[in-house]
Amino acid sequence: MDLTYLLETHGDATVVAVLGLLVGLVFGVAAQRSDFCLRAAAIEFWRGQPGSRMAVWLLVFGVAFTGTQALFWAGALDAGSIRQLSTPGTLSGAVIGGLMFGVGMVLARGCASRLLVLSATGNGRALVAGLVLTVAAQASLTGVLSPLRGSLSALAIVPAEMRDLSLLIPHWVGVLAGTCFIVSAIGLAWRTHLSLTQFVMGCGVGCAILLGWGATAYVASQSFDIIPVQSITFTGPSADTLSVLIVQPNVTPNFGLGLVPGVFVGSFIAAIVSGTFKIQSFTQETPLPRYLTGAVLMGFGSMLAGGCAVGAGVTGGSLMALTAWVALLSMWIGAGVADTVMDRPRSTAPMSGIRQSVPETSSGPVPADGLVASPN
Amino acid sequence: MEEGLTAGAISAAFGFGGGLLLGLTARLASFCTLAAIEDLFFGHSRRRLRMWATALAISMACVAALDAIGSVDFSRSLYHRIELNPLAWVVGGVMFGFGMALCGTCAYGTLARIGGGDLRALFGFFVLALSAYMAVSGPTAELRIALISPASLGNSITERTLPDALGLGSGGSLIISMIAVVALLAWSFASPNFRASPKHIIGAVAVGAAIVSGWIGTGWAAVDPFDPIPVSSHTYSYPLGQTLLYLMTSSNTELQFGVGATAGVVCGAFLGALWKREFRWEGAEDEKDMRRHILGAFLMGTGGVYAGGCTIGQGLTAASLLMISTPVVMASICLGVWLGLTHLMGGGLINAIFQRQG
Repeated sequence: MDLTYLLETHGDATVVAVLGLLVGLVFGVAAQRSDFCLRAAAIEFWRGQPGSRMAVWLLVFGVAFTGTQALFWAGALDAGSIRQLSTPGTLSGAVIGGLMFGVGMVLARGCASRLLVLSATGNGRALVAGLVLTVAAQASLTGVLSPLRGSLSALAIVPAEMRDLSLLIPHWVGVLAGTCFIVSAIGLAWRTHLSLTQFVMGCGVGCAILLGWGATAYVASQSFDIIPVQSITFTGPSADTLSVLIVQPNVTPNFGLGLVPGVFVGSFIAAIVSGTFKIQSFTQETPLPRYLTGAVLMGFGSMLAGGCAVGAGVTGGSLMALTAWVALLSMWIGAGVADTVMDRPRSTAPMSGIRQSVPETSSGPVPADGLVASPN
Repeated sequence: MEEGLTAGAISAAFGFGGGLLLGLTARLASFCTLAAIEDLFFGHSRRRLRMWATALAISMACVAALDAIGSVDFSRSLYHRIELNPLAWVVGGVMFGFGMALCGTCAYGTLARIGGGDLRALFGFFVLALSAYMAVSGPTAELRIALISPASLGNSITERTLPDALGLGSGGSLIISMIAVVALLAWSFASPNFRASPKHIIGAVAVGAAIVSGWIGTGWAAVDPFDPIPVSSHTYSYPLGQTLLYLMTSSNTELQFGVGATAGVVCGAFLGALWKREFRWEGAEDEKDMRRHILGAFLMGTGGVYAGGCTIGQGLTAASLLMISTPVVMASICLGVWLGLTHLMGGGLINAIFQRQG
């Protein structure tokens, strides 16, 4: 299969879009079957109960990180053609946006990619939240929210040289660090009896990200046009896809435009084949206001932070981009705060040694912590 | 641009003001087009229908006056420029009416509900806006062009109002308007029930004032030969799509009348809900509820564009110009509402049809 022939016959843009579709299919299938979810992993972490979801996330991050750093080490990827490493970025955006995104994903029970994957399995809540997220993201990029985004971003800008941490930390160290992630993921997976399917699929998610880098880098090297070297991220492409539906039927295809439908179809197929397709909607326990708030926070936060949980967290993180790491950390913290405030079940006092403090003037006995333990 | 507001911004301001009135009336005087249509079918009380009739009468009278004075050139209105297509009026109207029944309110009512805190309505707004935009420049537009446009009479016909179609001059047009105004007012005020209700009368006046303010805003205040904007007034199908687009791309798009109007209705309804202490965050009750709302919103968004206006757009704004499309669209909407209500109440349209024949 001669790439140059394909590029000449169909045009670079179409080829890249088709590649996006294929990468999306891989991601969709793998993410649906592995239940890959940053929110679930962060919640397990903050509740002190690292489990299978955290194992999957560590695996995905480890595979993506190791592989991407290996690609850099081998010279297959070049920082100059990658946006997150070659253009100025915003630290204030990464922090504030990351925090907002983290809170939002706990409120909406899923990050942007998880919502997309879930909506393809019949989950109406995820579809609604995903739509609102996309509109909020577009509004933050070019709409009524963009002035606010601009001023928050401008608080702390970093130049391109500072973003590329590989200038400080050589790529082989990155490969080593990534391998450590993978090893700890395997350890955790073993301890939590992660199923082999989920393990393999988790690797698959990481590989999808590598495929994205590889495919776009290869096309960029073969093409005369400037093709951005990129990999999986969701909020920008989702907003583009929405625009295509309503505003410009004749927009130029790109990687993201193929990615979003690809993930949707991949997840759908995986759900049907595995029998996990199920129509779900809003109920009393899953209130619409909370979901909508979460979706708006994620839409705005991801645009501010330069990507969503996958886009900034995994894809950006695998590049050793400073702003991406800061964003990921902020998302992690934001999720923890939101979970603690909103959802965390309380445990009985004596186990953790916490007692309610008694005012000095009281003469009665120390009251027991009257809260009852509830199942997680 | 530093010297003053653009035509778009001025018209948006007028739209906002009129929208505020419409939103307040929705909540404080319970102005609701679905309720008015239900009055028509099941009416023990025809009060909401009379509100509509009074508002229409006021709008017609003011339009006739403005036309006579010459401040607004109504022959440049949006309704004179869009494609004339009776099939589109019928199909669009029935779709819109059916969607109204499914949602329990029309597009304008959806905005009023958002002002009251109903988040199903907020989601309904997204679906409405997307469907309306798609019906103009997306997949459903292709469908419209393929299936419905063949019946089009084109847009070169300029005699689109009732008096023009009958070949009457401006004098005859004025007389027809006066007859219509008097008839509507006489019918409305014939009811002691309506006469005794200042709330409904004031509401009707407010609605009429809103429609007229739209004509004045776009047809007189915002007229700029270098920056022409369509002469129109309140309608809530395509403008919802414009509003969504504005929310998403405001750094690159201009304000328009419809965007101001949409915002105005939501704000007015919000203020009205606060006043009556009715504001309350509300979500969906169950999956069926949500599905019905989504389908209904889609039908309204698409049907409203096909028909060239919603219940407000055709039933008040276009009607105030005595457009020939209005009776056809409104009859189709009523048919759609009837079909929708039958479907909801009878447990299925098919059952209802076969029961009748049986």
